[in-house]
Amino acid sequence: MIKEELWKEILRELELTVSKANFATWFQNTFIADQDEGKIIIGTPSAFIKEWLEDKYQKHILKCLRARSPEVRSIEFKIATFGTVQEKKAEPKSTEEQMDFRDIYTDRETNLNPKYTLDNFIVGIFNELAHASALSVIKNPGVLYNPLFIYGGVGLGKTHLMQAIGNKMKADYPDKKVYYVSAERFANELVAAIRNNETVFFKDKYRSFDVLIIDDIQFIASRGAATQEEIFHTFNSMHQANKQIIFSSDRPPKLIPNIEDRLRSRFEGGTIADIVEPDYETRLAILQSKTAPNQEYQPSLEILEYIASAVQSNIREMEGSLNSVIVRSKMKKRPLDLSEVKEILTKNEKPRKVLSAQQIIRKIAQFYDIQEKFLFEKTRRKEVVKPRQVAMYLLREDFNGSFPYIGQKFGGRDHTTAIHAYTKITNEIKRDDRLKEEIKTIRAQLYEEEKQ
Amino acid sequence: MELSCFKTHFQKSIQLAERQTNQRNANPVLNGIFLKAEKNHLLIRSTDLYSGFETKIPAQVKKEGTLVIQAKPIISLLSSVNDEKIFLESKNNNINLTTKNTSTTIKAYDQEDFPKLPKIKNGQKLVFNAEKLFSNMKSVIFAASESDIKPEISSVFFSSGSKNNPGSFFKMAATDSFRLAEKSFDSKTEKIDSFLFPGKSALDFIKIIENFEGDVELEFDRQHLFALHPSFSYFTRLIEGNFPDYEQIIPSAFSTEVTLNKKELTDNLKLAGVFSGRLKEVKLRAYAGDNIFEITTSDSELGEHNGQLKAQITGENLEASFNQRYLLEGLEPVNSEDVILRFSGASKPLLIQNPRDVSYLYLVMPMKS
Repeated sequence: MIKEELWKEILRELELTVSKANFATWFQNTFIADQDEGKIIIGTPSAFIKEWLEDKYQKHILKCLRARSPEVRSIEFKIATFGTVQEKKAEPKSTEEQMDFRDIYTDRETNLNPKYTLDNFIVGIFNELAHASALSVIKNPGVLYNPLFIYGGVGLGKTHLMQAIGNKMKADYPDKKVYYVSAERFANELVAAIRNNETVFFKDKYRSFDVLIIDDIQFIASRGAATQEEIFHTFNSMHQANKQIIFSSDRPPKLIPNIEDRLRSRFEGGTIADIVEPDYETRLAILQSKTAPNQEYQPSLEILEYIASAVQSNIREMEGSLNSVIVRSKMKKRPLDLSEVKEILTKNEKPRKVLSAQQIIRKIAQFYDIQEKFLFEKTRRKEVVKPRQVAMYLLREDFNGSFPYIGQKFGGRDHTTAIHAYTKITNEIKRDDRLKEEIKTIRAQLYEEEKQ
Repeated sequence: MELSCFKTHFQKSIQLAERQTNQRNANPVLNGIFLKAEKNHLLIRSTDLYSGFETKIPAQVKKEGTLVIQAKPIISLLSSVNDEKIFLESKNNNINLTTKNTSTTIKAYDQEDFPKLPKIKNGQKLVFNAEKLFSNMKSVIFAASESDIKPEISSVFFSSGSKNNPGSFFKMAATDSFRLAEKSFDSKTEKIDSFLFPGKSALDFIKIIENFEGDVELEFDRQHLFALHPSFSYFTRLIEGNFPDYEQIIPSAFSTEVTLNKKELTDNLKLAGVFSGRLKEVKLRAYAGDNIFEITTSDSELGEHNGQLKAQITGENLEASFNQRYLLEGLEPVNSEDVILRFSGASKPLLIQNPRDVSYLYLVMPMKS
């Protein structure tokens, strides 16, 4: 007879001989935990119950057992919980505003933050390519897509995906050494290593990883040849050893300025997946996933729809708006109506950072890697003309400069030159994706908030 | 049974015993408190089948015997009795409680046996002074999570020594993942295995030891703990699990350090609390050059408050938001005139300590502002 059946029968019999209250108190959640030759071990939920049964019911239980299976010689009791632990209730949602230690908690060994998982990564049309590539890489690390290069705009979940890949790899392949690092930190470590004559140690460290995840690789564009060379060598030795490398960037490899061609071709050598801006339905789904069903003052669907339509290009910003709405309704102790939400969102729209003309010009020079002074000079070199026109366009669009002012700014040119530049770029953006991408990136960098 | 005893002894013991009963038990007898009159004392015992408490109070016993009484009516009754001495007598399933001017009969259960507190064999042992154990546990327990969804963070973590300093001192810690309190103190104890004291039991336990002096011996194994004192014993199951490896989140370098008078700070925080809204958010600002520490709160319905305190500030200017209750609770155990607040930036945890004594530390995460 199998254990469960046997115990069920014993319990049925005991139920007839003890009071209902006693039966419920002492026999609930007991079970046959183990059977060893002639010895049966009975699991009980607590020490009090174990001792009580040993004291009061041992003989009785043994008698019932032997009546059914005569080979039973003795019984013992131990403390054990039956089967699975009871269903855990959902964790109470902490207030969104209070940070918890997990926010600073990163695994020292892998540099990964456990709060980023694939389970809480929302997949939509906008990122399914990146997500699918990530899954393939997790299944066949180092084999299929090496490197995996993921790019997309600010606040669209790149870091989340990168970290989640790392966490999943760590879970699936406990023996593999996984390491996550931002390109900035990588570069800083390298510079420090060079300064302290510890480059050997640095190289050994990075080459010992089986999976290396480098976030925001575009950052190395502003670093010198030494950093790039080290990345190149690290990459090569890892690649030859079939170790998986994953990069993320805010733009595709071909648009990262100032990197050596050999490095660029390495970035492009595996597979490239982009994350675009999420469509309205996905944005709404993300907002819905961020509101707990039993939360007080749940924003209505109408309000979520409004937020999803109002904040388009940055998921992080959109979640921030949702939080402000929830916080405000908690303060008011009631849900908000649409007009109040609109008011909050307009207030919340970070007044676009007020930029000086100087900042715009400096950023453009930096982006196209030309000296600032060339923009003001009379030179008509191709590599200067285009950035100059982009600068004029942005000064008009984002700085609201008048055409005469813009002309003046660029070495006393005529206002017609500024008008010409503005219309030319406006038209080209519609045709030339690459230019569109460049301007988007320049703006992202100009307005980029500090990453949380 | 028939006996007389001091009302205060009986009252205190019944109140402590009542905390261990489980009012949802199918068995009404177990919801009650077990009394056993023998020789020259009255034994009082209760359990919820996971933890249990037992104490003996001096009594003049005329007739030995046992009885299970219902806690609630007895407690209500005793709270309005002013006599020094009371007389207890069992009569066919009732208990009679007599004072100089009153006589009360309460339904009880005639019961000879009642679960005993299980014994622990070959456990590890610790000895603490009861008052010290009380104050040390009290200085961390408030930080434990109140929900039992994750039992390991609703517990008090007991451990000895640390990785780089084994033995010779003892540590307790509790966290709810938003803040963490840790208290270390010297102990004569050898190195022991760490264990997790369940939060609810820990609250019951400190209520108990608050009332006693002298040494308490704790004996524990992987699953249970048994506390023994000349006047009482206490048993509880322990939580099996891992307490977060918290030492790695305690910062060691700080961007801003603020030293100021503790009382001024807590008074000001209490005042600010009036306007801190439902989220209890207070904004803290440290002006390093001016040595001014500022506390600001605002509530859209009520108004706003701003307090400025003199402080010694080293490092950078800082602005960060915290939960007012978390700050006050964490400041409470700091037993010095001054307190030091050590910040590492607006989104990093704040470390609160006594400037001259590192035995207590409190780490609290900021709010997103």
